[in-house]
Amino acid sequence: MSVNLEISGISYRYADQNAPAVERLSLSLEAGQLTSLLGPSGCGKSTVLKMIAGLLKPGEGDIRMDGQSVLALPPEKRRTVLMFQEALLFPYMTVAENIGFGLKMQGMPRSERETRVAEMMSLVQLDDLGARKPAALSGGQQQRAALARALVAAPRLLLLDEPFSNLDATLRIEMRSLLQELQQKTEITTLFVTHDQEEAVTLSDTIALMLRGHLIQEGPPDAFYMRPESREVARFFGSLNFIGGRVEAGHFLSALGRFRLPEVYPDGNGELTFRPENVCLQDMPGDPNSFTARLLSKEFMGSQTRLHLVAADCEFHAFTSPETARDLTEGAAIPIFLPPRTLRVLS
Amino acid sequence: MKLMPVSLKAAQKGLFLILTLFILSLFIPRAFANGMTYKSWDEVVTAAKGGTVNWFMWGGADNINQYVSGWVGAELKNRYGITLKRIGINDTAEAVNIVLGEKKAGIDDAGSVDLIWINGGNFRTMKQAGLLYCGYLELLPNNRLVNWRDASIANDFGLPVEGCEVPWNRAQFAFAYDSARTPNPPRSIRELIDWVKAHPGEFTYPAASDFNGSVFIRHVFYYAAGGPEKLLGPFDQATYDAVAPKAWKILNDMKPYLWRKGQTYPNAIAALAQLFANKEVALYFDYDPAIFGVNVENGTFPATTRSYGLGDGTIGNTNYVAIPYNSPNKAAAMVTANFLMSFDAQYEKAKPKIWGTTPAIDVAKLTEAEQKSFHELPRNPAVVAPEVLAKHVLPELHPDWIRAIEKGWQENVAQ
Amino acid sequence: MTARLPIPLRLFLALLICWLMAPLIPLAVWSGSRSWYFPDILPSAYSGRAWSYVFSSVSGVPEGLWQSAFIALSATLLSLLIGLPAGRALGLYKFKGKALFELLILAPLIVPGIAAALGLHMVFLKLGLTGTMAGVVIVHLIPALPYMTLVMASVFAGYNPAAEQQARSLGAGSFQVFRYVTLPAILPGLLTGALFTFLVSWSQYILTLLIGGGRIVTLPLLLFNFASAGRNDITGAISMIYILPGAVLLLIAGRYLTGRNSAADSLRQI
Repeated sequence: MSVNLEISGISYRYADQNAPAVERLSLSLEAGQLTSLLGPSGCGKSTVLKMIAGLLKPGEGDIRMDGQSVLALPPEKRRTVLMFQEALLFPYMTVAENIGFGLKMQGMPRSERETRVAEMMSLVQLDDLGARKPAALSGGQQQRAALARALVAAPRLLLLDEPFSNLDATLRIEMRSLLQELQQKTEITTLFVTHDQEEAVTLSDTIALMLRGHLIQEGPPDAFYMRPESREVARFFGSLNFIGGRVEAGHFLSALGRFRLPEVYPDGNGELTFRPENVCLQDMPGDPNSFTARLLSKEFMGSQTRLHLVAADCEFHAFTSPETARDLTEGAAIPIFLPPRTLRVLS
Repeated sequence: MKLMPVSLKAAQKGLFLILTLFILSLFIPRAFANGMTYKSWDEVVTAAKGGTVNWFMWGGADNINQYVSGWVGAELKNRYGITLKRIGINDTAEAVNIVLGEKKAGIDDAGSVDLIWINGGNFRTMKQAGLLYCGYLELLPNNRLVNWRDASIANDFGLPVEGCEVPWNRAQFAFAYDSARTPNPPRSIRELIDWVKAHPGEFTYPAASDFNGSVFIRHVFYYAAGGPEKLLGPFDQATYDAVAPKAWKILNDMKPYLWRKGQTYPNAIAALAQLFANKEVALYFDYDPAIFGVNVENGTFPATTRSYGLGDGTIGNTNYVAIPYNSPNKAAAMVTANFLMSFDAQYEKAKPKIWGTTPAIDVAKLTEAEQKSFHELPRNPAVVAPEVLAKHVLPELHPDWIRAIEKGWQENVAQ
Repeated sequence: MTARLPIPLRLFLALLICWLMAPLIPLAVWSGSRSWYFPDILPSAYSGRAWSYVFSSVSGVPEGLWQSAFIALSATLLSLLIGLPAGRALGLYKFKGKALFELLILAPLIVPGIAAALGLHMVFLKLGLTGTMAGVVIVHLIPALPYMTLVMASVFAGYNPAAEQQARSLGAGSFQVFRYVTLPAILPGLLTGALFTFLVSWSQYILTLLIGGGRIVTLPLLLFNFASAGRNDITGAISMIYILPGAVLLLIAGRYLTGRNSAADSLRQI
């Protein structure tokens, strides 16, 4: 049932805005995959979803499912179910009627519908709540019912627009694993919109990062940590450290020193980036990737402590365990080692 | 210009002629529609067959509605094949406004009103605005039953009828009282003034904005003027200025002794009827004495109700039906108007159980047998005999006079 | 869900209903009385005469009832067709000149009816709409539409159109979206608006008289004839007929609207 989705060069501009919300965006999803469309709020990701669902018509470009353009199809014919941040259950129908709505619209006979709804309700653990009105459900139950309603209709494509962001942290985690479980079971191609990089990383096979209407980088989750393609991407994924300098003969030259790199970069100006959790507080005498820094301040963050350090007028951050940090005093000189495989140069 | 070719001149002349004919032709249909187009009564009756008459009339009396929609409607259908549609209105001015609006909009031959029950100010408005179809009376066979020499028929509130409306009813103001409660009611304005002071709270009259209230105030005005003679004819400011203060003084002196100490006046005659029915006031009056009998019949007034005219006379008038200039059913309306003047229609209407109103035709012009029928009509004891009332009848005033008196009352008495 | 009303509140509602119904009692008594003198509590004689007049062919009341009903229903339907999209636009969207548009919609309620009516008469005469049923229905829209539009605007102001998108993406076509999502959500407001519109049209006097030119006779026209003439018995009888449809509609709507309260509440939450 699940399909390939191919988006090529779609744009959208809202009538009351000057800048386009989405500009020439291309993206492909493989059948059965769960892809996250990640980006800060206002970057245009919901607009992309609505265009795929047929609720907005792109100004240019094409959207194809299994090679067939769907632009001419009205939303109800696309079989792409959209699930919103709010559960949007129909308040005057029972929970069971809500879940069966899509099937009813497909013209499925009542008896068959009821069987399918009952199955789905037990999958989302709402077994005994079918006769209730949505208002009688908790927030988490409502969102589970909405998920059930979306999945039971067996859509070709499941589109999720920040569906869990209104839930509290534990419930959110619970819902994520439920979604993951159901998605793997049904193998419905899924596009999941979120602004939460942690959510995107834990949930998806692939992440597509969107900024200001443009697709910036697409790939497996770890690539965004290991191989960010720009400072923006690196920053979005929590890489706080950026050191200016240039590449010369396989090394990075900066005020901090001459660092060994894990791979070959072309010569020229660039920016060295490394994640704070990859900074080692240890002395590696003779290694070009080691130097000494001074502690400016430290910040206790629970499971770890963030250190604010400076060396040769370059400020950077490092994470360490609270245990280690307790012995460090502000102003102290601390040996630093940057393992070569954690370094990345951005041009 | 000196070398104008002959042919061009001829063309100009031709053009001028065509233009003149065209302009003249614009007037023809209008003249045709509004003027005397029927040469004989038979022609009218033939043209009326199958027609519909929309008769706009005050619709607040079920007995009159029943007479018109029931009896008259059935007779017109049977005798002439005319469909009568009675359209009940609250105030005759509503019908006048419809015709006025139609004229402004240029609807000159497809108006919605074919016949109006009318008199007084509304007649004056329509006649002066050219809203009436006039000059057909000679054609109506029953016109001979009308005594046009009677000035109170030939003049509608001081305005000459001049063939623009057809008499339908006669009305004369009369007082009513409950003989069981008030054995000796006041029988003149002079007596009334003293009686009111002797019986505080038992008398009131509707405000001048009410038709009947206005008539009562005119009786006081006549009394203050020493009779109506000086007030007849067009409005005269000097005469008014001489009489009015006396009249306002009488009414203002009366005020503290009126119902609710004169702080408020009933706003309609219906309210006075209610007060009388509720025994809150002892006297009632109406321009149409038949109403006393009707109200006894329908249980509003007690059976011991009696009525009378004043020793110094009461005001009488004639009311009419008129055809608007833009009625699309003039022939049918004429046949209806003619039928309303017939012995049959006037006699039916005079029956106390039906309406009990005074005929507008001159009974003396009828056949012996017809006259006998009229004289043998039973009369509700609550209704004063028309011939008794008619012994002392006072004329109505010119509408300008009436307006001045009504305005004067508002400013000098009501305030 | 359906908690019983506390006793004081019930008592209050009962009193309110009595207070609203009280003026109707004398009218009902009058319609069957022959004579009723002050300060008697009851009439001294009863009669069915007013009723037999009202139902007779000469009174025009049965036709008046039909005409009133036809006109009021047509006006309601038309104002629904216009007021629903207009109210949706006002309630859901912001657009240039919205304040002016709102003011214009209210204008018929602010301008005195009679002043507007005279100007309208001229226009309707020229359009050939006077004396026609269509003309009367159209002129009734003038006082009726503002109510419908404003009620619908307030309904849509609290309405989340995302539910419609949700339904569409679940496979519902435009008609199904309206039937299963929009209509149930706006139904209480829609009924309220329709009820108002019906009653506004039902009670028109001057506009009907002017535009109907007397040829279109509705119940208020007949009622006024007798009310102003002080015929309490016939006025009472016509009044009983006059208030009948309004009372029936109010009862049905009231029952329905209060029955849907829980739905209406949860609608506001979405």
